[in-house]
Amino acid sequence: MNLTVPPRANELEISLFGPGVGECVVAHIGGGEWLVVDSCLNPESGEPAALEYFKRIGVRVESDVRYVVVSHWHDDHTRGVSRVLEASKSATFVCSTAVRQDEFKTLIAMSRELNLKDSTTGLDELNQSLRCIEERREAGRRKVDVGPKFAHADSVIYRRDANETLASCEVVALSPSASALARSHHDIGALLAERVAKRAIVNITPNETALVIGLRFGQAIAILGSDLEAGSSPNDGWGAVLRTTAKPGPGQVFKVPHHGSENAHHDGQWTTLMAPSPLALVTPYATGKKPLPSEADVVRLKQLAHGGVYVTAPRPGRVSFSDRMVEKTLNDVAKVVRSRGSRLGHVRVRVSSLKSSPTVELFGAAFAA
Amino acid sequence: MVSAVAISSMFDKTIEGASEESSILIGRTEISSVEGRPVSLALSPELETSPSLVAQRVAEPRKSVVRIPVPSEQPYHFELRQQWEGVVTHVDNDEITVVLRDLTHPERPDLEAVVSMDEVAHDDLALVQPGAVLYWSIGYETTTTGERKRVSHIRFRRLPAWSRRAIARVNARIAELTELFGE
Repeated sequence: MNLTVPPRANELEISLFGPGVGECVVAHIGGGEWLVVDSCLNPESGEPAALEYFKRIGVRVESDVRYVVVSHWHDDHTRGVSRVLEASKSATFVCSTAVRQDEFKTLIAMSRELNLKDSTTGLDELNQSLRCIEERREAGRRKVDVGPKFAHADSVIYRRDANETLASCEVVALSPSASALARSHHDIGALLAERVAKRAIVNITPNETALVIGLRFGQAIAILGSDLEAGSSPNDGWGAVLRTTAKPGPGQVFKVPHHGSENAHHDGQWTTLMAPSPLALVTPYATGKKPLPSEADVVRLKQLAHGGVYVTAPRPGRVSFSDRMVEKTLNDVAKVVRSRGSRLGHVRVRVSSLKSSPTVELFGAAFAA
Repeated sequence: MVSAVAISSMFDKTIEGASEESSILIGRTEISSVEGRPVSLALSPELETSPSLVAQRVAEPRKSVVRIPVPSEQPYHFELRQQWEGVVTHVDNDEITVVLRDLTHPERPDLEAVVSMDEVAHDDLALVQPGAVLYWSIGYETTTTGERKRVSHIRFRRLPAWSRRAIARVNARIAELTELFGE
């Protein structure tokens, strides 16, 4: 097991990074081309996990990263994404069609006015990424090359035909559905109506507009579930994903949606989208009153994912400070104090486009559940 | 009766302006508090209630007769040891959940804390809602009386209402995004 060895040209690689709160996927789609979906930071270095990894395996980020995708705007999926995009000079920026809505543009524009000292909220990252795209367009580059490319259910993000050396490849969006997009108009509009006073924007639940990605490279197939939840109707969430026509076929690798939570589970994920013995990859969300995945979530996933369940990081332990006075006071005042991640974990899966068995490697804090 | 004027300057080493009559009265009276505040009185050794002393005090009406030990006055000082910027993510009836970004050591990962509503200042209660921004400071406070204690201050940010200028900036950015998106 050697982290620095790059994948072979005909291997699909899915690398999942997570420090406890945060998620990033990088995917090798053949021939040295890469895709980045979401971003998180390595808490020990403060650098985007994707860029650190690319550097270690010798990827030329400026030319080899073809797409940078933001599946949705929540902080735990966007930290550092603008830096990834700036480094990925040849990449096309892709985001959910929900971003195109007038209400969402207003959210982005309003977020800039909050002026937080550490202004790296999800909306700020999205805004900075769009600034980067604006600069590239102003420099004369075409929209079709730099984006933003808006994706929703059944959108084709990338398609490459087979050639003498490489199998064909297709990257498709399986969500959000038209119904979920219509609903998000209302949800975001309601959020704006509440914002008489300035304040930060917190997440809208349930998450029905996240971008689920299907990847097929030859016979190797992966589904990246983002944070899409089950949905409030069969026309939303995973019910709608199951009815897409762009589904790539039974997958061997499943990036489990929404940190393995019960409310993102749908039986059809396992009976329709996945092959009989898939691998389940999970990033935790070690925060909130009910950190994810719960023990019950892990039990459920192990019953469904016969190829194994792999988690990027354990729940962070007790928070400690070098300044004992600060630690004591914090613990006196707060009922609960948790770290949102202290050590990055990395699950790497490689599978040949000729459909051999996947290999799994674990680095950092990652572990097999 | 003890004059309030005579005792009011508690932190003076001597009571300036005390009348002869009140000085004598003090000398005769055991005073443990003035206007509800504890007072320790030190009587001059020469203070006696004899007629000769009364005569002397009449001759020197402004001589100090009462000495009150007073802490040395120093400026208020707050030694900041740790500060976070927080955003409220969840509000229950009696507690809030806050994501904290470390402003003192920005390289540290975010924390999440659950804090009782009792820790929120009364003035700030109306500001508590998801998305509210707060600053949490921990440090040592030294009061003007020299007392040093560790303190935790949670203060909610009072963001100004949307000004016309801010709304104009928002609208300008929306127009830029609309152009970028090709609409």
